[in-house]
Amino acid sequence: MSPEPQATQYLDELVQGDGSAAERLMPLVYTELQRIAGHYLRRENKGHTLQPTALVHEAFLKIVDQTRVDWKGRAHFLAVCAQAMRRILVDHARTRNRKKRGGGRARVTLDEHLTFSLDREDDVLAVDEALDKLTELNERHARVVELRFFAGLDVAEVAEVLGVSKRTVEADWTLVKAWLRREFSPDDGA
Amino acid sequence: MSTSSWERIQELFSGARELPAGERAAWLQQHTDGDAELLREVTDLLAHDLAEPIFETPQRLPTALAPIAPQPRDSATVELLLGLKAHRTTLIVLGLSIVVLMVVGMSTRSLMQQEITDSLREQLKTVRNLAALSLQDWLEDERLVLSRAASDPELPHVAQALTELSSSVGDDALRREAIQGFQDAARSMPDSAILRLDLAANRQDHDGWALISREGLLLASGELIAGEQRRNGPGDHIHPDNMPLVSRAFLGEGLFVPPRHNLAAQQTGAKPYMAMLEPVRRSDGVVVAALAFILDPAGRFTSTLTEARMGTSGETYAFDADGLMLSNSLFEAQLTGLGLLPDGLESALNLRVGDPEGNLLTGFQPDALPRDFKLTAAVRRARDERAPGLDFEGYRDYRGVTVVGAWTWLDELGFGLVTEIDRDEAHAPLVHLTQAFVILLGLVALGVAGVLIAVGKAAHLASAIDRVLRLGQYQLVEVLGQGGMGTVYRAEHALLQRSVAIKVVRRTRGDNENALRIEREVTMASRLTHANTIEVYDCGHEANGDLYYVMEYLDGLTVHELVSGAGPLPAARVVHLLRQAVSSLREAHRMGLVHRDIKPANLMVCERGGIPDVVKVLDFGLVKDISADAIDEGVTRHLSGTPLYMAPERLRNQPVDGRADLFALGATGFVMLTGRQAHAGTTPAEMAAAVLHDEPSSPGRYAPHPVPKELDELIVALLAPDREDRPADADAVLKLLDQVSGPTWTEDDAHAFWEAQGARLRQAASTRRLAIQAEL
Repeated sequence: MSPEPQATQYLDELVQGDGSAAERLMPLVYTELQRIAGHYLRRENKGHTLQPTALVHEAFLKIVDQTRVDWKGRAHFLAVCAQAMRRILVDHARTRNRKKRGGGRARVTLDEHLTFSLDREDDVLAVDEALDKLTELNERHARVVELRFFAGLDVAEVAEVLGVSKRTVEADWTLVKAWLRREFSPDDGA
Repeated sequence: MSTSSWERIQELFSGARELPAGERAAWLQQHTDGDAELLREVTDLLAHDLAEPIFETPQRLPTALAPIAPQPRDSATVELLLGLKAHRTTLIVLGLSIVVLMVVGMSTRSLMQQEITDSLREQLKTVRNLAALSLQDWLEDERLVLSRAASDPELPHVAQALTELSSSVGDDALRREAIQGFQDAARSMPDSAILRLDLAANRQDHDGWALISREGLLLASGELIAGEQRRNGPGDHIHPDNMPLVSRAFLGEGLFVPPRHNLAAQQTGAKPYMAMLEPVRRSDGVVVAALAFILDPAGRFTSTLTEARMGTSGETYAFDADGLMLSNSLFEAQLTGLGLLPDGLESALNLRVGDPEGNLLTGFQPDALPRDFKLTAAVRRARDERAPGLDFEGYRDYRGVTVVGAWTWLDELGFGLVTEIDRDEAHAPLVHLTQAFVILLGLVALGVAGVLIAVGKAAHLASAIDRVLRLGQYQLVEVLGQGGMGTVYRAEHALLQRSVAIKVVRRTRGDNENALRIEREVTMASRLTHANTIEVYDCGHEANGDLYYVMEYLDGLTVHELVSGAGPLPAARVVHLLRQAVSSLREAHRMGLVHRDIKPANLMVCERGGIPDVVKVLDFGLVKDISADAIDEGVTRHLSGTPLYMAPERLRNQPVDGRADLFALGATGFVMLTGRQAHAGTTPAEMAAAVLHDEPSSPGRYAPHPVPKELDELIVALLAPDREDRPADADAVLKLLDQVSGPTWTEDDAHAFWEAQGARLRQAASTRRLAIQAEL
């Protein structure tokens, strides 16, 4: 399989500063990620958890000419991937939930020690909603969550994608984590 | 909450986090400037600030996007074998350790050999020294007793009186009588020198004593005196051969006479004796007689030599300067048997310690007579060198047996001693040691050879398995199916761990044409991008020339399996499935490709991206290029496929176009609706005949579910024997499908179906696939 020359080209343009290239790259990434993720979403691999990082890397290998893409290009690619993953997973979760409950959805609450998992549709939808809210408060903070949760990136990678220091991402992440916990804490109906 | 206040919140939140928990409230109070809402917000957030992760992060792949390295990750055996291959360094280290072990072993062996040799040499020397020392101690002791007896102050007077008495009597008989009388008189006295001598000599080993005059006349003697007494009583002259000993005593010398034959009684077989002589001096120092103690060689002398011995073949014996054995041999029975010793004689004084130059015990026949044998090495060296010596390499003893020995020459006593033991016995520990090492080395060598062979085989096997189980970057996992053209495997990408299906097409020897055809087909199939066409990722050649191509792995059911398991499908669902299949074919037909093998088993119904009932058209491996230049080749020689789904023009070997696929799709639709074939027949020939000659029947007649008229007509039209009567192309079929009335098959319908029946159908299909594989 040969990488898509288009994807690499868009990525090049994206690195050069052409923001619209991200929109052109998106469908390619989306299609590929959906294809790869479908495998997991169908629960064909029992006992496997969804590994966003693996999927994103697989997509990278599949559609980008790696020899022509530098580190920075990769960061842009990861950012696009995170958005694509979010859309795929949210779409999938919606379909599932509609099927299961005819559209209704139980509200996710979070005990202090519980966590969100990509494997649970309700978590995906809850995080997605919370992200919409967070985007209004601070877009970068929302991106941090998006990259962490939907693309499985670590702090260093997030910093690289957003072009800020690791310290900044760490500070953002601490706040956002507290905020998310607060948002979903059972006692606080906010 | 505005964006600006959110930024303020972050500032305060981060600031407060820097502080110990106790100081935060005050600090926040101070910095919020009375903004109660802000204070509450930040405090609330801080209360939810936990170190624990909030997202479940699955185990991550290595983040670096390294080039894909082939890495087998499947079979434990393969991993084990490849592990061996990868541990070549370890094996080299192992080999070196074995070499080191062997060197250490060898040097240990030689050290141990040295130790054992030294210990044996010490043992030999000790036994020899012990014998020599005991002899010397004993003789010294005897000498003291003798010299004390000789210095009895009365003895010179007795000697002088007897000398005068004997010289005064000329006649032998009278002289004997006179001396005997004197002696008897002396013995009858309560205390006399004669009685004191009797007492001193009356010791276990003593055969008696004798007082001898300068002329060799026995002046007096103890009762126990052996042969001499019978023939040579007091008053007789001693044997002339003994005179030099007496003369030496008269010169003032105490002396030891090693064992010797009783010269006077030689013919009568009297036993040998040994003696010690001491001069008897007058108070003015003049020697007036010689006092002799006669000792029995079979007594203390022999026991001293046999006290300490080594092993079973070890012995210590004494010999004189002529090489005559003075003590008894351990092997007298053997010696008699060999004729070295006359019957009934003991070895002491009768055996010459000569070297027969060969082992008599193993039947060696010496050239020379025993009396002409050279003396054994030990005796010769002891006599010549007059010093202690040792031979651990081995020399022949008087039996011709190779022995090791230690010897010495006791100059003051006038004889030598040797301690000997058969070399075989002495060297036994060394032999055992050597044997043990030989066995050990043998085992190590065997082990090394075994490991080397195993490693070689393992590497060979590993590479063989590797070759078999690996195709490019894909690791074969299981066989999905086998057919005339090749085998389909499920495989995993080495890095991505994504399942793929790989079809390996066997290359028939010399059939280049066929190979080229298949390659062209794969190339064309890979150009198909329709979502309902199975995707071809990759293709390549194996080392043996076999072609393989990698496709997406679909874990669904074929229409054949679906209908077999669930029975005829509702019309709406058939329309849903046919539409997808036709749109896949439409792309192929537009590119000039005919599938040629559309049938229920080549349409897979799967779930993709969460959407159920997605059709994938499989096996474009038989796709034909119908563009102008390829027609001739395509139609004739390669009649393959299932007759029931073959359009009449194909069966007639006429050129085919996309409409042949439409016919096959019609036949497939018929099966979907009715669960039975559109044409009857049990053998391929009957089936072909039915296809060629029977008018297509209406599926509606057989279908259990209602079939809309439009669909019924479409199926019949697709099955038209003359392709001109079929819909013109895939587009036309799609339009006709759109016109089918009745309910539509929704995604929810499909979900409901799979939730109700999916598990059972999959189970049934996998059982059936296993059964088919077992037959293959």
